[in-house]
Amino acid sequence: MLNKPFFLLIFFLIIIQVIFSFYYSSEIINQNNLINQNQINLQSIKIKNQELEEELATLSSLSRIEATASQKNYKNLKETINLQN
Amino acid sequence: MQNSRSKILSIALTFCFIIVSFRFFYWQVLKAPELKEKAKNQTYKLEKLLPERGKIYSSDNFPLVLNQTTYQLSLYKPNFKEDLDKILDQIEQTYPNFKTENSESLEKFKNNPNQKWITFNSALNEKQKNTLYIPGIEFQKIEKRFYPENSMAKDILGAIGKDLSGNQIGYGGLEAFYQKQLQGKTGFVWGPQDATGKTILNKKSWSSDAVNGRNIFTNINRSAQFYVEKLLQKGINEFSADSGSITIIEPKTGAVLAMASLTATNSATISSIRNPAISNLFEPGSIFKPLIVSMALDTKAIDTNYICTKCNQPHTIGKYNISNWDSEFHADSSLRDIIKNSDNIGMSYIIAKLGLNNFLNYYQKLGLTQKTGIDLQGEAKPTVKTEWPEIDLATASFGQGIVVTQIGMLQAFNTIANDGILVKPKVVSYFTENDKIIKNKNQKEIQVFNQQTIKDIKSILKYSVENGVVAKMKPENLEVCAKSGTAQVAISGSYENNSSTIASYIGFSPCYNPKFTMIVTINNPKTSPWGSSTAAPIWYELASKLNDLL
Repeated sequence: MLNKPFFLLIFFLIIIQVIFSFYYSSEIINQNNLINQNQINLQSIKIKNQELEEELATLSSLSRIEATASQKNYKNLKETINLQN
Repeated sequence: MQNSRSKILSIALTFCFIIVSFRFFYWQVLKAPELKEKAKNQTYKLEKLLPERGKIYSSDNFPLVLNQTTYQLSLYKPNFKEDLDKILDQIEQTYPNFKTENSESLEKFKNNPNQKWITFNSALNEKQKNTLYIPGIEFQKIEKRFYPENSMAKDILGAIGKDLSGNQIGYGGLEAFYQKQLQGKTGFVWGPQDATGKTILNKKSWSSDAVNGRNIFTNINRSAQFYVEKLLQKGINEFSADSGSITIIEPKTGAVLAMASLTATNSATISSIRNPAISNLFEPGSIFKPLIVSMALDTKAIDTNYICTKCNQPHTIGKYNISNWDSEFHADSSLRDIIKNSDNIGMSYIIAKLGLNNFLNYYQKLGLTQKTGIDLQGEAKPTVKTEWPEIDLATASFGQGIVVTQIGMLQAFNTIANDGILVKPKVVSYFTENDKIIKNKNQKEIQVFNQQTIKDIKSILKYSVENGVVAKMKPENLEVCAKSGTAQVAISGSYENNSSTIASYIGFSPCYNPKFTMIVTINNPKTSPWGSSTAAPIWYELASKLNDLL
């Protein structure tokens, strides 16, 4: 007679243990996935930042200023501005 | 019968049980440590966290060297889910000219069914990589250095390559000299890994963060460096020279403001890991004369009223005759005229009065017997004679028979600009590490000449510029203390009449509280061999620019 509740208790304990282990292992996996995703995002932001820094430096470099300045053709001011008294 | 069968069976079972038990004991007890270690190795992994290499900036905080992440594209035929041509079209849309850039290797890859894998040299950026998630395309991350000003200051910056372990390592210039500071510290993560090979962080995991390399902030004035390279190239071409070098420093601190070495075609004969301004030894010629006069004045071997009474004829020492560069004689030359006329005969008498011991003492004090210690890799150590016959001492008075590096000569001459104090040249001003500023240590300063000597030599140099052959080149608004020099290049230990020359001009401006000290060296100019006609015009053009810039 006493055997029945004892077996039920054991059975429930096993079920609880299984649920707990499933819960925690999935939690660990989720958190690790989140860390991995954040690391990927961080890496991507770092590379984007690197590319922007590169672009800014290229655009403001003396070599570029020199190259573009010599290609500029300014119109004679007299041709475009007609000042009247 | 049945009883004996069951007996045999139970004995056999017991025997098997014992064998199995022994086997279990063997694996679980005796082999346990070894297997435990193997299991750990399979489930745990050590991952390297690579640090970012430090960047290099000019004095206006402009990046001269940045890091660039690119991706190298590879194709793997067995993973293709569509036709190769379709894949290539998609790549071409994302990365124009991909097919033309790699036409040869692509043709081979297409026509060779046995070739399953190919890697291309084309460097794709992050955005391009992210648009190409196609089966069969693989990417490999490549870390490179990026130079926004292209080849500007390449001798100062150096280059990077890979060591035997595949790690980035600096070659030449700042990249090599400050390798330790630039490389940073590799981090590690040790922990169990999941089925995809990613590290799972748990209580048993262990990690140490990567420390990025220090950023380097140099003293390089970007505008000055730009002009130096432009005008040096122009000068080399105009004077049909083989090559040339220019270095500019700040007199008070020794901060290197600009440094460049170029060849006639700006070709690769000068590599980025060899910087001629610090690694080439040359005979300085007449630019050395002001230092000898300063030594003689400082030791009171002569005074400012010195007159060379024997300068009306060659100075004969043994079997050698010392004459002047223009074969003229200047009878009763005053001290300032000896410098103005660059009189070799007068100088040979002055060094005789100075004496060998005094000369060697100052030669050492001026740092000419050793490396300057500039913070760039590849500096050459000057060779110093151990024996000094009278003729060698005489020729040393006009800078022949002794060798210096350009930076060594500039450091020595700068003592005149800096009130007699020798300061070490320095490229780096400070470092930053996680926003923390770390100053570059200043070297010990040495007082070489006294104040009166400096006052006298500055007055002589000023007179020499304003009344010498270079007077017409000097812009009116500029006060200059400088000296030209032309050194013959010795061939097998002797100087031939047609031997090539090294033309130089060295000086500072203004004479009092100078803003800069600069040396220009032109190797083998063919339009004119003289420093006053080749190096001096470059010096003055640069000096007027620097006067506005600094």
